[in-house]
Amino acid sequence: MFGVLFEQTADGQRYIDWLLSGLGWTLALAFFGWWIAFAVGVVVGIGRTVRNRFFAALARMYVEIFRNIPVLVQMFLWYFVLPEILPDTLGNAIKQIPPPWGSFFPALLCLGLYTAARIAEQVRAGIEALPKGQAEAANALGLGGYLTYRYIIIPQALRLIVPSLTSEVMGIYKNTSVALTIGLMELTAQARQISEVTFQTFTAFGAATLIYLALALIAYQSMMLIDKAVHIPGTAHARDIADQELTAEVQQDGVVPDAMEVVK
Amino acid sequence: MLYEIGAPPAERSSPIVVVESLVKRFGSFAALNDINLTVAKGEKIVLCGPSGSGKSTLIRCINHIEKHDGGRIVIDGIELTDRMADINSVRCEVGMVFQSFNLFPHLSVVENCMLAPMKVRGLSRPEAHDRAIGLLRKVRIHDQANKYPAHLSGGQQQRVAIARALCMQPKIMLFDEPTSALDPEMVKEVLETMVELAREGMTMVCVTHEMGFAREVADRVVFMDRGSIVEEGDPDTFFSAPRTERAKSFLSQIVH
Repeated sequence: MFGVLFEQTADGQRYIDWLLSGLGWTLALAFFGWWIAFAVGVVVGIGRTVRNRFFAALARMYVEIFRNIPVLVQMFLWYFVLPEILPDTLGNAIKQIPPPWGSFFPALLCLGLYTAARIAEQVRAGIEALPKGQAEAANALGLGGYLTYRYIIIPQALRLIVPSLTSEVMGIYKNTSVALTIGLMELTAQARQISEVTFQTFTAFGAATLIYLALALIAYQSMMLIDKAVHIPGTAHARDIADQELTAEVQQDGVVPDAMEVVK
Repeated sequence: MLYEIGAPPAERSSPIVVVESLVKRFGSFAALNDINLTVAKGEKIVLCGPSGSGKSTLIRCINHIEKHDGGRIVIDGIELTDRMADINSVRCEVGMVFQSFNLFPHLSVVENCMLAPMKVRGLSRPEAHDRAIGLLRKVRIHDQANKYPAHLSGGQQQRVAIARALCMQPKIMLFDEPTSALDPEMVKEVLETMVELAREGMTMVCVTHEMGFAREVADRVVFMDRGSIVEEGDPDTFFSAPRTERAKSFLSQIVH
């Protein structure tokens, strides 16, 4: 049934090479986007819990803006709107970035910053879930705010949220498919292209589906390994937090079919 | 003044903690109402009283875990204000032991003891390690040094917490109901550690209902009720002949 994938394309490759090239972009987007999301998310998440009103408000604003605008709209904002509102020279320079990078960088920024808002909320929840006595004991030992966060709060909060970060990892790589709307030839875009050229819609999207599924399982398993590796000896696992995320996840997935409509 | 009854010997008389007209409110509720307390170097004070009387709040104010709303707290010559530098330097001199231990679960026993000396006092890793092992030996738990807190019993955890506080070489130790969360058979090991510490001359302020401990080590018992100090005195007088009705009824409830 997947035989068509190994047939020659007009440009001398095989269709499977198209898919693999798409997979490469999907992985690159998810991987680098993840690190942006994680770094920004941890900082903003800490900002949500500090006593300084200014930083707390700033962090809150970030989360509300990036979490509440549909990821597809954010994608368009970064790609179409940003170059227009920047000064002309800078805006034109951005428009001059050759493909595929002209699509890749806006998509990377979009997914990274969007996922960061979601991670920030997980980090905040993790910090707030810790017993108050931890910070008190650290303070009582003379550890100031920075040292308390650095050595006591953050190491424990991050361990606590590994299960819920699993859904963020899966979320960001699934959301990479939205990048097709700004012309990045990632996995879904390549599948669509194969289906248009060969009329083998089922095969093309079936193959893409299997690849997405395999990636999800790999991501899940690696997060389980990480969870095990950082587990605090003698304590219970905190998997229950992950369940709360399932509802949010289902809503998020609704974005993808819409995105494909728009492309037409 | 009341607290001069049973005044400590002259060589102890230089005060290390001075609390003057301390007021602490939680909303409209006055948790502490005009508290005056002086603790001399080397003195052991037991704070007791019914729950909600403000005794825990008082010692939490002494190292600024709770911010006070009025009055003055001076620790070893440094007044506690909002200045973070002062607060942190006071906290280095004041060790605190909590009811719920509050060990750091992600660090091993010895790391729990090494963290603050390294990051705050600037000790090197080997120095901090040696000091930690020495103090863990003192609380007789050095053979568990590489275990994690969750592997220890409550009594062992509390002894680690004491060692962790001692690693900062504090001038004064605060104990906030250190045995209240323990199973009865573990109370003794913690109290023995505290008695030993008292014998070595550590200045201690203990919130506890262990009256045997109070009789054995306290220089002074301070009885609080509804945010005020109601009565103070040496333990023998306080336990055998309390002057106030409130203290009498309290003692009749807890001493069997």
